[in-house]
This record gives sequence, C-alpha cells and structure tokens, in this order.
Amino acid sequence: MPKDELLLQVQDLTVYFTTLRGYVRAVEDVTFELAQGHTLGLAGESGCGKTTTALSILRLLPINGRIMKGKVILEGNDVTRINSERFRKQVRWKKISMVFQGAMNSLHPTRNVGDQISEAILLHEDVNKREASERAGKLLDLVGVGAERLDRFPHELSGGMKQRAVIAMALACNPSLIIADEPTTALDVIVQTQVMKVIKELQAKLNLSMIMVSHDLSLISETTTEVAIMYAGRIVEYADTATLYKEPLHPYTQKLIGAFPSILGPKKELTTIHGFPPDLINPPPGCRFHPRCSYAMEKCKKDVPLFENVGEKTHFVGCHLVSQK
Amino acid sequence: MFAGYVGKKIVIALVTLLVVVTLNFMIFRVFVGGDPSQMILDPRMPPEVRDQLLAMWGIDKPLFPDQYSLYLYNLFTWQYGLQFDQSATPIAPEMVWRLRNTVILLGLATIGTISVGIPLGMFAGAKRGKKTDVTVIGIGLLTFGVPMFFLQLIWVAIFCLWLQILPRAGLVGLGGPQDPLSVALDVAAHAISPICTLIVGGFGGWALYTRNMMVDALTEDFVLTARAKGLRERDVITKHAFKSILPPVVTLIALSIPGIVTGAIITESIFAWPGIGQWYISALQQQNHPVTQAVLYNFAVLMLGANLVADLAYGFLDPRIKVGVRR
Amino acid sequence: MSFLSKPKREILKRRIKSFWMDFSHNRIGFVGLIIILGFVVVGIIAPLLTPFQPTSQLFKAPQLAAAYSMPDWFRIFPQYSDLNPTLSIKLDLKKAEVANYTGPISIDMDRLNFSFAATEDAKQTASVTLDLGNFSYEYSAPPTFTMHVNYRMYYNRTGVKVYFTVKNYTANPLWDDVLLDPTNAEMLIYVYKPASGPVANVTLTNSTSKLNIDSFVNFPRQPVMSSLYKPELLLGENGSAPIDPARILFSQKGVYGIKLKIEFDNIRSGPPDRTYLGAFGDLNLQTVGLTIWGRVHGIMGTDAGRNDAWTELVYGVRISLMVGVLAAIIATSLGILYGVTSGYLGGFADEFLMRVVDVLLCIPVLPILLILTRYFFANVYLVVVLIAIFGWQGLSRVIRSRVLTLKEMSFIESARASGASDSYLMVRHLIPNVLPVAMAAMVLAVPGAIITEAALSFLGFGDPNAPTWGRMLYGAYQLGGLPAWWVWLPPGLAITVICIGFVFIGHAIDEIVNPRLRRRR
Ligand SMILES: Nc1ncnc2c1ncn2[C@@H]1O[C@H](COP(=O)(O)OP(=O)(O)OP(=O)(O)O)[C@@H](O)[C@H]1O
Ligand code: SF4
Ligand SMILES: [Mg+2]
Repeated sequence: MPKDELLLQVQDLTVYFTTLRGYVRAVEDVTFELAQGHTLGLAGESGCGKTTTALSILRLLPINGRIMKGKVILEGNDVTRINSERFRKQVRWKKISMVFQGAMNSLHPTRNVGDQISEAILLHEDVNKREASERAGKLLDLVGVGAERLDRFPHELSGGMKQRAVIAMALACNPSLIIADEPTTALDVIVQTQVMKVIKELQAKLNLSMIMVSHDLSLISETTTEVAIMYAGRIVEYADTATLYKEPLHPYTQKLIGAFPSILGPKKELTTIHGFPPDLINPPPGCRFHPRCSYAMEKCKKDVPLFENVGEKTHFVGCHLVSQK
Repeated sequence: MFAGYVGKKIVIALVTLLVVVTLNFMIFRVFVGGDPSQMILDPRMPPEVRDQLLAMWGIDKPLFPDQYSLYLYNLFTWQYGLQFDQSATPIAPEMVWRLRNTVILLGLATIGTISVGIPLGMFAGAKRGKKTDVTVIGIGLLTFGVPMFFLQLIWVAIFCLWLQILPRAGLVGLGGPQDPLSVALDVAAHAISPICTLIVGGFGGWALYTRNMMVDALTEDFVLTARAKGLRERDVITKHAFKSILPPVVTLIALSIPGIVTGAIITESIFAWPGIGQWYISALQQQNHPVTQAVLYNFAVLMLGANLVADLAYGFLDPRIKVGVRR
Repeated sequence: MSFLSKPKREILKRRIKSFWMDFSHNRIGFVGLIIILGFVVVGIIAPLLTPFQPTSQLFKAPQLAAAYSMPDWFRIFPQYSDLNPTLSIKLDLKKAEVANYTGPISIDMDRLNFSFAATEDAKQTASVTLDLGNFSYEYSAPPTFTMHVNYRMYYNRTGVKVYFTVKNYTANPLWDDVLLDPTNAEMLIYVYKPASGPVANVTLTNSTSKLNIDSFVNFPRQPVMSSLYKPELLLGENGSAPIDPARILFSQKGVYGIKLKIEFDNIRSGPPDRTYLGAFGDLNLQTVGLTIWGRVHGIMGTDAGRNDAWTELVYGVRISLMVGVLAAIIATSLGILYGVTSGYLGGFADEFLMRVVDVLLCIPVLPILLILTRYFFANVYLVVVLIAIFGWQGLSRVIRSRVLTLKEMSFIESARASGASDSYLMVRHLIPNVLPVAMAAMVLAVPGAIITEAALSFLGFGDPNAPTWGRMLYGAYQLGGLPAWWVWLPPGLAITVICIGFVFIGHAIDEIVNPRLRRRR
C-alpha cells in the first residue's frame, strides 16, 4: 500500500441492478485504496462494471441500481452512510467530481459553458456571480480552452475543447478526488493525445488524486500510479502501474495486456481472448473467468478465488493458479 | 444567420397562406359554385333587388380577375365581404365578436391544458417507474383513445342534464340581469363546461409527451453531471432536464394548433358557443360561402401565426438553430 | 416473401420471432392485441350476433320500437318493469265474428270477401262489423301505436270505409270507442272522457299518403292495397307538450278488443240520374293488425330512426376497423414513399420536398375535410382516402431523417458502389430498414383516423349510408338523444376502447423498435 495519506478506501463494494430478468451483479466485492496525489487506473472490458463502480462512489446509480453491501470511505468517513442531503452539499463536486463517459454530452446543450462551470462554484462556495465566472475563465485558461470562450455554447466548441471544458468543470471546486470515466474514448486520436497531455499537465501542476477509468491500457499506463483490473464485476488484480505492466499475474490481465499493442515492453504478438464476457445475471460460479481461461482447473469452477496480496509490495491477485504457487 | 432563418420561415408562411387562400377561392367559386340567387334568395324577389344583391356580393363579374381580386382585397383588409343571406349582412363585425369568443375559450383551455399537462409530465418523467409515472402513462394513452366529443357528451349528460348544475349551451343564459358583473359571471358559468372538458381531455397527451422527453433527457450525461455537481434534485429536473426539452416542447405547442382548431369546431358546436368554429359548421350547412371562406382564412392565419411564433421561439430557446443546425 | 433468398428468409423469421417475444412480454401491448382481436372477431361474426341488417343504402332496416327505447333487460329494474316491448297484435281473420250488418252485401267468410253492389235505382250503403277478438295489455302506457289493414279491393264508383274500433273490455274510464278510417284519410275519433268532461275531438291522419278516391274512379279495377295508419300527436291541454293518443288509449292494464267496421257507400259522382248504376265493390281483407310500439327493445334499445341500436353497434366495428386500418395503411405508405424519396434524393429536391411538407402541415385538416365531405364526397371510402391524404406528412419527416442516416452507412455505400440501381436500393435496403419505425407509426395512426371519421359523422358530415359509431353519437348530439345514454354511451365507449387497443399496440411496438425509449443508464 502506498505510504502517503489515504484518501479513499473502497471495501467489498457490491452493486446489483434490478431488471425484469433478475439481478445484474454488476459489481461484486470490489476493494481498492487510493492515496492522496495518486491516480488509480480502473481497466477492463466493456460491461465489466467500471462505470458502475465509479457511479456508486458518487451515489449516482440509476434507480434500478443498489449498493447491496460495502463501504466507500473518503477521508475517514463512510460516504455511503451519510445523509443524502449532506452528501449532496458536502461531497458532490466539492470532494469528488467526475468526468463522465461520453463527456461530449456532459454539457447542457442550451446553456453556455461559463454558466455551467460557475454554477458548480456558486453552489458550493460563497462567491458572487462575477467572481464565479472569473474563476471559470481561469479554469478554461488552465485547460487551454481560453477564457474568451466562456459564453460559448457547447455546439460552438470542437470535441476536444468540449472535453477540456468538462475537465475544467471537474476542477471547479478543487475536489479531493476526480473520477474520469473514459475521458478520451469518443475522441479521434489526435484530440486524444491533446486531452491526455492536458490531464498529465494538470496532474503535475495540481497534484490531483484521480481514478482513471478506461479500457485504453496505454492511457492508463501513462497517467496512473496504480492499476486495478476488473473482470465481470470483480477486481482480479491490483498493483502499482509498473509492476502490473511488467509482471501481470492474473491470466486475464496477461491476456488483456497481450491484446493491447504495448508501449512499454517489446512488441508482442497480439493475443485475443476467446469467447465473450459472461452474462452478469447468471455469472459463472467460482472464478468468473474460468470459461475463458486457458489455465482453468476443477477448483476454479467451484470456489471463488481469494483476493490476496502476493507480492513484496502491494500486488493483489484473485486467482487459484497464483495462490497455489 | 438568425435573420435568414426567420426570413425563411416567414416566406414559407406566406406561401402557405397564399395556397390556402387560393384554394379557398377555387373551392367555393369554381368547384362548389352554386348561384346564391338560386340557393338562398326568395324567388319572388324583384329582379332589380336581386341584381343589386349580386353586385354587392361581387359575383356578377367574371371570376378572374375581378372576383378573385375583390376576394383577396376583402381578406387582406380583414373585411371578408358580405354574407350570403337575404340582407347581405357584413361579415367583419360578427367575425370580430366571434373571434373574441373563440380566443377566450380556446386560449383559456389551452393555457389550462398546458399548465396542467407539462408540469405533470415533468414530474412523472422524474419519477420514472413510480406510481405517478404509471398513472401519467395510463392517462396519456387514454387521451389518445378517447374522442373529445365523447368526453364532452358525457360531461353534458352528467353535469348539465342529470345534475343540472351547469348551463348546457350558449354564451349567456336568457333573461338574466344585464349588469356587467352578472353577465360576466354568466359567461364564466357557460365557459366552465367547454374549458374543463378541453383540459380534462387534453392534459394527458401533454403529460405523456413531456414525460417521454423528460425520461430521455434524464438519461443524458449532462443531467448526470448536474446531479454530480450537487444540484438539488428539483434544480436538476427544472434547470437542466426540463430546460433542455423546452425547445421541442414549444414546437409541440405549435404542432398542436391544428388540434386546437379541430377542438374549436367540435367543442363550440357541442356547447353552442358562438365562436368561429360553430359559425363554420352552420355556414357549411347553410351554404353561406363567404362566411366559410372567412373563417377558414382565419384558421389558416391563426395556425401560421402560431407556427411562426413557435419557430421563432425555438430559435430563441435553442442556440443551435442560429448556426443553421436543423432540428 | 418468395423473392427473398433462403438465409434472408431465415433472418426475417428470426427477427419476427424475436419481435414477437418482446411484444408478448409487453403487458400493455398484449392487452391492446387482445382488445383488437376481440373487435375483429366481433366484426367477422357480426351477422351471428345481430338479428337484423344495419341500415344502409340498399336496405331499410325495420323499425322496431319507439325512438330511443330502452334495452329490454332494463325491465329487471323495478322502476322500468312495466315498460312495454313492441307488441304486434295479429288478428285471426278466420275467427272473426260478424257482429252486425246492414244492407245488400254478400259475405264469404272463408276468404273474408265482401262484395257490394248497388241497385239501379237507389243510393245504397251497406256495412258490416267484425269482432276480431281480444288481447290483454299488461304494461304502462305505450309511447305510440299504429294500425294496419292489408286488403285488396276492386271497385267501381264505390267508396269503402274501414273503421277500427279498439274496444275497452276493462272499462278504462278515459275512453270508450276509437274509430279509425283508412279510406277517408282525415276523420274523427271520439274520446269519451268520464262523465264530467267535455268530448275531445282528435284528428288522425294517414301516415302513408292520402287516398284520393277520385283517382279510384279514374282507374277502375286497379286493386288498392294495404296502408298504414298512425295516429297524430294529440295537442296537450293548455299548450303543454303534445301527447300521443296511445298514452291515453292504453293507459290501463287489462283486456282490449278490436272491431272492424266496413262501410260501402256508392256516393261517387257521375251523371245525376245514373249515379248508382253499376256501382260495386269487392273487398278482400287479408290481415288486420295493431302494433303497439315498445318502450324497450333488444339489447341496446333503438336509435332516433327506431332501428336496433345493437345491430348498428356491432356493424360499426367493421366500419371503424376498415376506416382506421385502411387510412393508416394508405397514409403510412405515402409517408414512406415520400420520406424515402426525399431522403434518398437529397440536395435541392429534398429541400423542396420538405418545404412542401412544411406547407402541408400548416393546412387545417378538419375544416378542409368538412368542406370536402359537405360539398363533394360523403362516401366512407372517400373519407378514408381524404384522411390518409392529410395524414402522412409527419411520418415522412421521420422516415426522411432515418434515410439520411442510413444513406451514410457502409452497407448502402457498398451496395451503391457495386452498381445497385436507385430503385433497388430503395426497395431492398432503405424501405426494409425504415419499416419497423413505420409500423409503429402506422398502428398509432389508426386511432387518429377512427376518431377523425367519427368526428365527421358526429358533426353530421359523414357518409349518411354507413352505420358508423360517429353517426350514433350524432343522434345524441343533434337529434335530442342525449337522455338516452344507453344508445350513445356504448358506441362512444367502443370508439374509445378500439382506439386504446391500437394505442396500446402502437406504444408497445414503439417501445420495441425505438431503442430511445428502452435506453437505460
Ligand atoms: N441501469 C442498468 N440496469 C441493468 N443493468 C445495467 C444498468 N447499468 C449497467 N448495467 C449492466 O451492468 C454491467 C456493468 O455496466 P458498466 O456500465 O458499469 O460497464 P463498464 O465497465 O463501464 O462498460 P463500458 O466500458 O462499456 O462503459 C453491464 O453488464 C451492464 O449491462
Ligand atoms: S482462478 Fe482459475 S479460471 Fe480463474 S483466472 Fe485463475 S486459473 Fe483462470
Ligand atoms: Mg462505462
């Protein structure tokens, strides 16, 4: 575990969605920690529960979603327990802000950008409109959009500018934690690099604590200090970024990193993962990865592997194969 | 850009008006035709009086250009000409009076309908899946199935015939006191039934439309963002979700104008409300062509005006229109 | 579907199957489907459900009871238990008794033939009275009655009068004898009030036509046949509402009898000295009947035209379904064609076509429909076409925008690159891809069309020959039938329920094919 001051602890977080066909076990027993000034990468295939995890931290689950058990401890307080009115006033955006997946649509189409940024400031801080809008202008400058675009409407900005404006909005109240859910996915490659650059600059300048959700492993490798790999609602491996990329232990992580053109290591052959992610209404018993795992054993089909530390530093893995050794 | 958008809308409105007006002329003067001297005048009328009447109606001259230009002149000067009746009554004064009655009735009904329906839809959309929502969906679907005139018949049967607590027809009762206050109260009593039925039969549709749009809007990322920012749920719903659907809601108001015109005809006939809709029906029945034409012209002007206003409002509410992004 | 290749057929089959899976799990949609199927079944077996044909151009439905009579089953409620159904009293002529006769007349009782011949020298009259037996009447006073005499007569210079007498065997104090004379269209009946009151004279008129006896003379040997008599309304005393004589005649329960008196009278003109020469009359009496019209009838009573309301209701299903479905299909086809063409052509043509739609959308539809049905065609099929012509514009916009997105998709591009013709692309690629959306729109267009047609009929501008629900409501609105809620409530409810059925189905299809409504975060 990082020795710095702990900012966020997520313990045994379990989130189900109620549907007509039954419970969708979208997130199950998710546990991780984040220290002040660190950035955690949350990676995994589409549908593995990354967004759900992020949303449950902010208590923004859709109506059919419920936190069944678990804790989200922010600076020592379990925020899943506090009164929702207090949570809204004291935690949302002030402590935790979020850049949403598909951030292109995160801006209100018929209100101008400055308005939307200062709205957040006005809500949480005791400032007047002019000051708020000045600060919004500074934020836009900071992310490279420029204060002169305060009164522009979202449709008058390019995709990259919109995304950066959203990031500026996330910074508005100097939050302790920023959750960025796939901040670059909807953008084309050139704009992606621009936005990534902005994020990295901000991290350096403002000592941000972030959770970076993405299935883009190269983005994760460049911007994070720790990485958690999720598969079908569970975290299967958690380690600091360098360790994880150098020696991934979980068969799924190995495949995932193999499936991605690597920027760190030497060029490896692309391996693909057979089959599809499981149906989360009836997830496979035991290790959820077993139907697709080439090392699967009898035990894997019955028992859920323990999620335990196997390295000298922190390297948590949930795999029978690894714990056997 | 905005000027261009407005200009285009105005041109379209004018073209439509010209089409309607010309069709209006053609239908009655060319296709239906009919010599009013045969249809309505007393055959024993002295020929010189008859000729004088025909000259007053302007139908003794050739169709084009004389009759057509007189017709256009009449319409655009808001004069409408003379009725096809024995005394060739001028249309304009009665039109002013009836138009006022119609606007009062339908204006109030529409405002009532919208101000019940839209907030209800907003509320239901915000409570998706809850009881209110299901109820609103139910009422909305029912609204599309229940013909307004049936609802109004039921209303009349219950309140005017059985319980006898509301007057059944007309603008004022007969033989009441004539001071302005009593007359106003009497008119209000007569207006209750048509207005209430229009609201009862109409708000469900508005609620359902608004609800569907709200449900859509509430799944948008900017709403989630607003929530994450820590806004009160009420503000999320009104200032963010609802504000984003305001332009289509306004368009919908414009698109509902035809329905409101339809409502005028049927509602005014049922409640014998002396508006232009009721006038239209009786003019059709009596082959009083100049009145039919005049009312139709007013319908068209009303609709086009409302459409135009809505288009402009859309442009005003939705900044995307300004750069020529079409809805 | 034979033009599809086998794998495509498979895909289509699978798609339909999955659609059905979705649909049958949609509760609202399923309810709608059941409703509509119910109506379809009723429409198909309509002749089995109803004893009569509906009124139409070709067939005049029988009049069955008084206007706006109540349903028969209302009689289970105590306040209605006394109401009379329509009673047709057929009198057996074979059992008629000759009560009295005077003058030279020969009677052949077997065939009920009467012949009368005047002698050369004297004016002669002859009369005969037949007692046609009794019937009992056990209800409250009926709304009205008619009497009819079915006869054939050969005559020359002779007049004949047939008098009806309704004999009161139960000593109804209000009246004694009532006589009705068919040949002399206007005549007196005598209503005797109890001892104190004065005698009231009541005029009865022949409801069919006045028989002009002169014309008999001009066309001798022309047989004259039956006619129908209906008593005229009595004027109420002191200007109160008119009262039908039936209300007085049958105001008491009990036994009534009918007598028929036939009078021959050779009074016709001719040379003064030869007046009676050759005068003769042969009367062949066939049926004599009395109909007391009911206050209750059948399942749903009767409408203003005194026809069976139930029949109209049941046959109304056919018209409503036909109007709604046909108009929706035509409108949807127009909308698809127009939208696909516009979207596919793009550019200036698209702009122009869409402006045309804008203009058409601004035309007030109902007022125009009213003009067209009033002055040009009030035929139900043409009304359907008119409704369709005014109903496709909205859909064409939706379709067009779909086509615009489709056009950019790779499969269309590749098909075009491989040299597919425009029409091929439209028929095989574009139209199939917009069909699901159009389907929902089509089903949702049905209630609109049904209600529009009903509104036209309701205002009195519909097809006068089609038994539609709207026309039944028209009766309530214009012909004073509002108190008879049992006649207008069912058709109104039927319109409502059938429309709701389609709305439910359309809503369900829309939910299935339109992922917008299904999206959940
Ligand atoms: N409102 C909901 N109702 C039911 N199931 C849901 C709901 N939201 C998400 N899910 C399901 O929960 C699982 C996790 O979804 P989530 O959005 O967290 O995935 P993700 O990892 O963010 O995927 P992606 O990379 O595509 O964004 C998915 O299987 C999804 O189908
Ligand atoms: S627990 Fe078994 S199935 Fe799961 S990843 Fe490890 S080896 Fe594969
Ligand atoms: Mg996600």
